[in-house]
Order: sequence, then C-alpha cells, then structure tokens
Amino acid sequence: MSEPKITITIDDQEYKVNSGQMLIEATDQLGIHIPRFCYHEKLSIAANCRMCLVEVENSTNALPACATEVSEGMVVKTTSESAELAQQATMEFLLINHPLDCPICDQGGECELQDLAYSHGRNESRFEVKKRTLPDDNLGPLISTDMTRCILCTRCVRFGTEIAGLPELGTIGRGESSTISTFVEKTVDHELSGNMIDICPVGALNNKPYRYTDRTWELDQIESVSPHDCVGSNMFLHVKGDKIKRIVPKANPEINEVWISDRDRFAFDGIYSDDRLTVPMLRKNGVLEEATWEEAIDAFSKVLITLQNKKSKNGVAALISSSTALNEQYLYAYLMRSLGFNNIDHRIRQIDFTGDSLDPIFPNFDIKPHQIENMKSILIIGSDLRKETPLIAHWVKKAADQGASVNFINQEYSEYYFPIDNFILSGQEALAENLALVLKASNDDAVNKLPSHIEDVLNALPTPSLSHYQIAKSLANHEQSFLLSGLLCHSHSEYALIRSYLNLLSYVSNSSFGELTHGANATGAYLTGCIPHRKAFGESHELGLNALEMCTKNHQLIVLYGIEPEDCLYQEKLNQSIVGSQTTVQFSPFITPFMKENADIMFPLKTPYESKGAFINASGMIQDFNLQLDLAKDNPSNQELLLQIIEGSKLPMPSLDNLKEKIKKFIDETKNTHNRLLEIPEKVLKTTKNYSSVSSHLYDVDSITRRSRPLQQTKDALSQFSEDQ
Amino acid sequence: MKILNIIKTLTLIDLLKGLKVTLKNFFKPKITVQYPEVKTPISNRFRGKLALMKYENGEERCIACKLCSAVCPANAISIDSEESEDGTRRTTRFDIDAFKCVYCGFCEEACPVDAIVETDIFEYHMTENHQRLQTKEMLLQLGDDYREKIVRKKEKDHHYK
Repeated sequence: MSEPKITITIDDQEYKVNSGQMLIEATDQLGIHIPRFCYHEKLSIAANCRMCLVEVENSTNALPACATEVSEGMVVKTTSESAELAQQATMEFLLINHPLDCPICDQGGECELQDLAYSHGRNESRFEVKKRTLPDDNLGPLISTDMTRCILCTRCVRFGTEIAGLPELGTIGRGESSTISTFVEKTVDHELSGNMIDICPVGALNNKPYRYTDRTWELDQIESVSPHDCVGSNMFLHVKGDKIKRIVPKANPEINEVWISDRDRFAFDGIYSDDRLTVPMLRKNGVLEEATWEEAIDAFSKVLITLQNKKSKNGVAALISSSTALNEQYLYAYLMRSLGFNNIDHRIRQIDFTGDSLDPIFPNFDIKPHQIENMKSILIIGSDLRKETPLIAHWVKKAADQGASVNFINQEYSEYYFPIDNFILSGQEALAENLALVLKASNDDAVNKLPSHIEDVLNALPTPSLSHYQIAKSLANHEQSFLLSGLLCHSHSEYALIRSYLNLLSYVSNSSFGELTHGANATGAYLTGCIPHRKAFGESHELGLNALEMCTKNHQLIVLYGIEPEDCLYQEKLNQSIVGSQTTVQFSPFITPFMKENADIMFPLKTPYESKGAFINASGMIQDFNLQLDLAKDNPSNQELLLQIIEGSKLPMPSLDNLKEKIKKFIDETKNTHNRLLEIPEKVLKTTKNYSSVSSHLYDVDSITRRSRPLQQTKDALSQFSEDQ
Repeated sequence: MKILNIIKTLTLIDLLKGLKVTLKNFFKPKITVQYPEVKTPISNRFRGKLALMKYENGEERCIACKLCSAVCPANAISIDSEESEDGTRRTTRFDIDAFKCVYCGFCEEACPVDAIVETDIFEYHMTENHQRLQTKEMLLQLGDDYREKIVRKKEKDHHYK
C-alpha cells in the first residue's frame, strides 16, 4: 500500500513522509526523537501527557506530535526554544507529584520519566505544597503497584481495552484526585496482563516476583524463545550471574508483536523449585542413590545393549516431551531407532491415533501467526484459545476487531473479549458432527465439490442449522478464511475424524488451515522422527506402538525424556505402566516422590531456559534460543548427555552438522505441498468412541509451569485447583 | 690547587660543614612520631575502611539501591536484595572485598541515604584469604562501634560538602 508522499520540514530539513500518519510516527521512522509518555505505537492516541509538544509554524501554541497529522508543507521544530520550553514545563508539572524514590524503584535505570527528567527536568522543585500520595492496589501475584509514581498516561488502561479486550484498570476521579485503579477491588487476571509492566513508562506497575531484587544495569540480556506453547514467542532472558531474574518480550512482528503471555513471562520461576534434580540417580539394592554420570550412563547403556541383543523390540517404550530442543529430539530418536526400538512417541496428550497414516509430514499451519490478523473469516474448533495460546488469541482478537467474522465450535464456553458471530456449543460427542454439518452446508453451494462417496457420508447426517449455514457462508464468501483447530481437538477421542473433516472443509471453502500443537516443538518432534510411524524427515518406517498403547502395557524398559507422568493425559495408565515395567529411566529436570519410588535410573536435564537449542513453532519457523547462554555449567548439556549414551551403546556417532539447515530446507520444500487428503478412511469413521472430558489449563502445561510459584497463585491456577478437588 | 685540596682534607672542613647541619637539626622540634604508640592526626576527609550506618532507632539505612556497587571502579561491592517483611527494600547480602577496594570514596558520594561511609580506620590485617570479604554484619558492627567517631568526623566536614 503506497500512500502519496508529502513533504514536511523537521528541524530545517526536508523529508518525504506518508500522509495520514501522525507527526510522531513520521519522526520515529526518520529516527528523530521526540519525548513522550502516553504515546505507544500499539495503542490508540490519548495525547494526555503533553510531553511530545513541538513547535509547528503558523500555530500559536505548541502542538502534541502524537495527535497532529502531518500535512503538506508543514514546518516543525522539535528542539526550538518554544518547543523545549513547553516540554520543560510539562516535565515540571509531571514531577510535582512524582516521588523522589528512584533509588528503591525497580524501574530506575530503564525509566522513561527518569531519562527525560535528566534532559528536560529542572534541577530543583519549585513546588512547596504537600505532594499527592495514593494507596497501592493489590493487583494479584504478578503485578506490583506503587500508585504514587503514576503519571496518569493511561497506557495500561488503553492496553486493557484495546489489546487484552478486558478493561481491568480504569481512571477514577477527576483532576488532582484522579487515579488508576480496578473499578471494584479485584485482581488483574487477563493472561496478557503482564505486558502492562513493560508499557508503564514509570515504576507504577512493576513485576511482582522481581520486586526489589536487582537493578537493570546488573542484568545481561539473552535472546530466547518461549518453551510453553507452539507459538514460539520471542523473549529476552534477563540474567545475573547464573540466575534468570526476569523475562521481557522481544519484538517479533510475525509472531508476538511486542507482547508475551504471563505464562512465558513468569513460568521460569519453576526451574528454581526445591525438587530440582542435580545429580544422576541409580537404583542400587532397591534404593535410589546418587551416582556419578559415568555410572549412570554405563548402567543405562548396558540395559539398552542387553535389550538390543535380546531383540525385544517391543519391550522398550520411549516417550519424549514435545517441548525439547530439536537436536535432543533428533538424538533421542536416533538412539532408539538405531537400537531397533520402534516404540517412540511424543504425543502424550493425544487419545485417537487412528489417523496416523494420514498424518501430514508435520502438523499443518498454513500461515504465520501475524497473518491471522488479515483473515476475514475464522472458524475455531475445539479450543480454549485464550488459555492454550494467548498470543494466537490476541491475533484472532485483532482480526475480529477489524471486522472479521469469528466462529467457534467448542466443547465448553469460555469468555472471549471480541465479537463472535456464531458459537456452537457442543458436547464432546457432537463436536465432529457439528463440524460435519458445517462441511455439509459448505458443500451445498461450493465450487470445489466433494467426491460423491463423501457426500453420501454427509447426507446421512441431519440437516444443518442456521448457524452451520452462517459459518459455511462466511467461510465461502471470504477469500481470506482460516480454520483453526485447538488443543482440545488434539486430545479429542475423534481427533482423526475431526482432522479429516477439517481437511475437507479447507478444500471445499478454500480456507487456510492451522492446527495448534502441544508443547513448543511438536513440529520438530514430527520432523526428527519422535513418532512411531515415521523416521526423521518423514520417511515411513515399521510401525511402533503409539503413546497410548505404550502406556497401557508393561515393558522391559520404559524411558521418559523430559516428561513427568503428570504431563500425560492418561497419567493413571502411565503410572501403572511405570510400576509394572522392569526398568524405568527418566530424564527430567525435577524429581517427584512417585518417580523416586519407581525410577531405576534418573538423569538430570537442563530446562530450555538453561540450555541452547532450537524450536520449530506451529507455523514451521525455526528459532534458535539462548545461543549466548549456558547455565548450570557443572552438568553436561542434554545434547552431550545423549551423545555419551549413544557412545556407550556402541552406536556410530550421528552427525548434527547442518541438521537445522537441512530441516529448514525440508520444511520449505514440503510446506506448500501438503496434500489435503480428500478421504475419510473407514477406520477413522468407525472409531470406538470413548469420550472423556479434557480441558486446557493455562498454568498446568508442563513441569516448569506447574512449579512456578507466581503463576500458581493466580486466579486461573487457583480456580483450576478448586475444580480438581 | 693541589695544596688547597690537601689543606681541606687535613682540616676536615667538609666534615664539619656536614656536622653543622646535623647539629642544627639536633635541636630543632621533631615531626616524626613513635608509631604505633603515638599517631599522627588524621584529616576529617580521610578515607579508610568502609562501614554501614544505621538510623538512631537502629533501623538500617541501606535501601539496596546498589548505586555504590554501580559506581565502584574496582567492583568491590556485591549486593543481593529482596523485599523485606515490612515491605521495604533491603539487602540480603552486602559484601565488600577489601583486596579490591581502592578507597576512592565514590560509594559514599553515591549513597542517597548516607548508609555507606568511610571511617578513618586504616590499620587492619587478616591472615586468611577468605577474611578479605567484609560481610553486611561486619560492616554494620563497624558502623555501630565507631558511630560517635564517624558522626563527629562527618559533622566537621559537612560545611564543605
């Protein structure tokens, strides 16, 4: 979109800028700095701080740059005497009530007010009357408040209304007595609310767990990627010595804009939990004791070699977490496959495996997260979107705010803060049928018709209702349409059938299709061969047992990599299998009482926060994380550990060179050749249905989140706890 | 010339010239002192061993703003902090490495609450390497022990600051 260029003069220099934008946007693009507090590029314009006042020729007063549109021939002076005078006056007014507590303020050193007070503030105050003080609100376990520091820029209020969609904070009172507060005393609970900490230009809203611990200049900044969901939000770890102190977002316009979810921000606390495993453990004479790395690796290799010689291929069950780094997954799959063990899987939250043979090379997600914003019609199936992937929910909200028609077919109702056209609430058992009805409605007047034998299947269904027709029509009418299947779908007992319907619907309505996956690197797990039916790079292979089958049997050896039984959807079954199996080996950052009782060998793992690696997000974007970091230095890295085990098992060493590049190339080659199977296999149609209720818990997604103290004190986590009771 | 030199040598004139200086200084008032029994006076601005101060009610002054450790040119100060039980910002660790400290006094200047001060103590020793770390307790104790002396010293200098 090229808008007409106009010429404006800023500080005696002529520039060509796009029309229709505000002066401050133009100067930001040109790299000219104008001081500001209330203006934020992602929020609406409020123009209430008056810090960005500049002199504009032919205007009697100084004008706020954030609310003045550029116009042809405009002459602007940002540093003239009258502009500076205006800015200094504004600064003096802002500082009237601002306390002089920079030494104890956590914002000190990264504070916009502090910076501008240096450049625009007076040396001493002329204000002699008592300063205004305000009581602090308790906004919950994540955000601390020091309301006296507030300069009423209302960024947090606008964030609540515009980005989160839930106005949790507001301005109360007028004039001198106006304050930012919750309307009635309550906590701030939105899953993106932590971002208010970053947008607050002063120290009024701050990071509660981080409160009073460190100063900004002591911290090193390390680029990282969130290990908790399939979005792959970019973030910075702020590290002092060998300890992570806090996490802040890293802007990535294609994935997470400038936001991250509270889960990404506060979950890291879990890695400092008391039950961290630091040394390998080995069962000797029935007692699990600490052992040296060599002993433990020897013991494990021996077990592996013995089982290999016995040729008991089916005696080994190997499970791996989908939140592990790419190299680890590759080595783990290599270890198991090379020894001849085919039972390897990462899908511990999936029940229905009948569609395995139809699996795409890796889960489909045709578009990048930010492209959701441009969609005109979105259908979301089986997803508690806000809790599963808060940032995908954010992009959907952006689309909805721009007028997209958003429709849901869901097992349970949860609140969304954007307009929803149709919400079909269906029980577990009717989810697939409701989707089929949309498909039937779409097929009625579609250009791409379905094959007749599938039409026969659909004809057996009842007549679609009005909402089904509305959804079908909305998908068909818009070129930019998108189908999104959520994690509840993934854990549904008719997952394969639902996916077949989605493929068909995507063909009929010519929509893009996206599938949310569990963990941060499920795509990587598919590509590295951590699935029973494929080797690395999607090569087909002799079929092994899938996760559910593994958990329902006893084995000679069961290996859990990065997994705790609590992560598994069928935890009871897995527990029984662990108890019943001869040898249990767990690779884990933590040790639980259950595993202490039942594991025979335990290897401490480094968490994704402490080691380097790469994740592939749902859209197939490979992202390195923590390249400059190596915490918990005493222990070998996860990759070294696996290599040592491979060596101990007398296997040829695999080459990890260029693995990432190879996978990247492979993704690029296969991404657009996903063949949408226009078929519903008999096997899938005749699944025996055994519905069990599954729900997504925001703060129970993995072992780290479960141990994060701040997150477990949030309303979301507490309400889940009372639900479980 | 030769004869003159011989006379000079025989009459010991040079020696007597030298002894004259000795004799003059022998009766002059002395400026050396018998250290350690006697000590020289110390300026109010003397920069010696560091100490941490408390308020009169016994509350710690230090608010863990870490400006002293930020300004320290020798990285001698390491501080950990957290929110204390009464909700204030307090240190949990305040270590000064005596081997690193160069007694520049920047920390004292940077301190917004006059918590860290330089005493006039310059005579101290240690026998073990680990003793070079002065912990928060030691620093506070030092501040308590020499409180009056420190206060007097700072009061005298305060007009010039």
